[in-house]
Amino acid sequence: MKKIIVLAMLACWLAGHEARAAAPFPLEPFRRLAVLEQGRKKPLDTYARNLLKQFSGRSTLNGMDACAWLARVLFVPDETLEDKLFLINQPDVLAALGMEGDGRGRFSYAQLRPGLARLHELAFRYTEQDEASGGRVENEIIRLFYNVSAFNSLLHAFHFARPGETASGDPRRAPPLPALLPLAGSPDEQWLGPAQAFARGSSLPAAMQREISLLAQAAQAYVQADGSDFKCALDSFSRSVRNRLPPGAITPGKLSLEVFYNRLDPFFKAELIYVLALLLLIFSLALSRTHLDRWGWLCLLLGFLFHTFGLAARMLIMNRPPVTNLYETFIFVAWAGAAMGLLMAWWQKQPLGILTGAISGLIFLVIAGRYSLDGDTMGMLAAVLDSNLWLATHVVTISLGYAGCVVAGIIGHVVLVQELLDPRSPAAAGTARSMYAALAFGLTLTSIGTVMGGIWADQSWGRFWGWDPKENGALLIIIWCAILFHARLAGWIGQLGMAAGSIVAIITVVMAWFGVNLLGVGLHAYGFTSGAARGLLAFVVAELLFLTVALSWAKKKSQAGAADTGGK
Amino acid sequence: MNERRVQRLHALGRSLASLKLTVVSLLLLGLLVIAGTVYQAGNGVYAAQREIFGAWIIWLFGIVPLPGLLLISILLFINLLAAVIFRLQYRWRQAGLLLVHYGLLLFLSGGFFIAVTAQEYFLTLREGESSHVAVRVGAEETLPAPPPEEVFLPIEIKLLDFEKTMHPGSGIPRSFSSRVEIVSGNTSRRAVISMNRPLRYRDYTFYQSSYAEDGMGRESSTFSVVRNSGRWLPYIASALLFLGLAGHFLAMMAAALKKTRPGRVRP
Repeated sequence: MKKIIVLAMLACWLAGHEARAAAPFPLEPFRRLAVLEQGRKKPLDTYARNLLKQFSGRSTLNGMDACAWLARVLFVPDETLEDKLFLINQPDVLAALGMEGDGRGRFSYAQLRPGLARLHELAFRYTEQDEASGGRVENEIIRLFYNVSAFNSLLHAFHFARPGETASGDPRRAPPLPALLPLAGSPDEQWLGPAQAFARGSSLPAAMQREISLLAQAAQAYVQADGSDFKCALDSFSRSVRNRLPPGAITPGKLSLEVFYNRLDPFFKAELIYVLALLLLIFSLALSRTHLDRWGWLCLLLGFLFHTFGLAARMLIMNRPPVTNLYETFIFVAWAGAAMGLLMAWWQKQPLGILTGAISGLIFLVIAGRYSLDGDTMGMLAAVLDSNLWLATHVVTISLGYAGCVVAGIIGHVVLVQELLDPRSPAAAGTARSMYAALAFGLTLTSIGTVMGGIWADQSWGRFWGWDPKENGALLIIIWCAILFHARLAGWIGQLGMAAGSIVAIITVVMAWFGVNLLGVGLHAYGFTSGAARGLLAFVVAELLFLTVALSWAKKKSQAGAADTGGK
Repeated sequence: MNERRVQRLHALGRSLASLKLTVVSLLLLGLLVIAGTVYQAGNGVYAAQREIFGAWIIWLFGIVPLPGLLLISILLFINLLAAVIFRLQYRWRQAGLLLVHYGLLLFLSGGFFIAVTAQEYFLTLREGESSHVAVRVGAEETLPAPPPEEVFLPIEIKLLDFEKTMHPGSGIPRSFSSRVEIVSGNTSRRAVISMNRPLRYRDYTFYQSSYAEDGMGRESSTFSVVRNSGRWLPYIASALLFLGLAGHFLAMMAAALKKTRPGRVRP
């Protein structure tokens, strides 16, 4: 009971912990405004976070959260020109823009201003060239240009609302960001930015004109730090937009849920708690205090609850199954690994489950976190994937199979270490049984998932099997697991061999999972990761080194053991 | 001696069913799959299918002969067949495993059947155009290109309209679909072919494959046309595999849990 109370307090503290906005007043209604970006209606809060991450690689700026930063850019743009916002990764970019200073780091709009004309010119020239031929500096210049243009667009989005400033009257030149105003009745569901809408003026329906003036009212309230007026204007703006659209086009509940999800950052919190669980486990092993195990298990459970909440919230917000893109495979495999660890620890009353659960949960959440820097993780689906039934069953099953193999591999490390410390110990044999179960689970689910994928492919592409790299990857996992089980049955490998084989199974899985995406060919190459190849290579080399050292050591040890018994 | 012959046959069968043969041929299969995948990255899927996935023998550097995927599959097929006859035990406890192995046998034989009998064509139509002639796939791979092999379909297809929609405000395609008219004999009907929703006619299936737009803004749609009388084979194999895997895994788990649950005594 005491434990549960302590953990509940920890959970509350973590849930409430966030970077507080340094805004003059609460920005809640501003965060929940619906904006259309990349085909998805999302809260402005998400939009701001993605934008800030894209510009600066960070989630906060000078202690401000992203939405507070966006509010300043929109409403008091002059105060934000000195913010060190734009991340430049290539040292040569500044020189290419004809500017002084040493290359890498974050630069403000004011700093970059002298080089903007050159930036514009270079970026246009590079984009006209073949995209594949661009080097790192060229791509960085194009990226910087997009970021600076978007920022410039935001600076002028509320130009019209500031007294004493005259807005440009040409609708074609008015910045389209942020797309807050749906242009009802337009066939391609176009949404206009505030400045764009203002420039169209009296050609718009009366409701939209009123919305524009409500936005202007909110902008002035922000400048005058009038919280209640700000809230009032934005609330009536949202209501008006919602009423113009067909019912269900914007769901306020989902927008609020997404804002809450953003603020809670459940996956990051889960990572922290998984680390705590691991620390507790290490202490309990080092100090031989087994009651710390219970704490470790409860911690794992708490992390798992945050993790599950995050997963469920995403499903509710997007109204689709848990795994639809590469980012979500990481989240889901981490979740499945943690779930398996929890079940194992609960059933066996041993710390092994806590270890594997926390490690697989942690590692794949960290990878997901790195991957999320690429942009909105809740992107829309390409046409080929848009089939809820198959997406829900095939992808989820395959991911569970991946998780089974990964868990088996993690346990494989433990078996190897146990064997090295104390050959033929009963502890190692017990651990190995869990490893077999995990591997069998992995083989079963990967096989079922692959077959389901075949059926899906037959239904939509006209062939059950087409030697696509992703299909080959899954087949390879199946073949490898089948080899292990048959070789064990044939007496070719024992416990040690199965442990080593399970570790190789992890390598097979990561190759099939995102290694083939790096090949960049085939029908499944929709999730491309940039710069992941080096990390993957490092991982494979490290695992192979570990295997070589551990196996040769084990061999030496068993030879020495044989010599000892021979001498007696 | 009749009995002796039976014994010899048994001995032969047992050696063909050997687990070591399974492991070796699976290893070879795995290596071939890796090789084919890497080869595909540089040379395209058609070349990989011709040189590796559909080959009896692979000529490494043009001189060293290695067993190709077809050869290995036949080896595995014989090994599997011998295993279900001579090695596997016909007991209830092994029912799941038996189903898995029969499912795999059916997959392999179905794969051979489809590889021999199934045919894939392409049919490209501009809006308003109609045709009952499709083109054989892969013909454009070799250089210099021979005239594409043409086949007559049992129906005539007319493309009425091709439509693609994007997710609003983005370049992400939401759907591709073609409205078509199917004429067979003197009857005609309308149908829609879209991503994940093919049109089936007897043993032909029409899939939305790609689209193009010419300089005049006129759209064209390309369908892949598959004629496959064995397309139900993998489905049955899948069902066997699914039942077998799930059954065996659950049975093993139940047995293991019964054995390993520590320190809990039921009253």
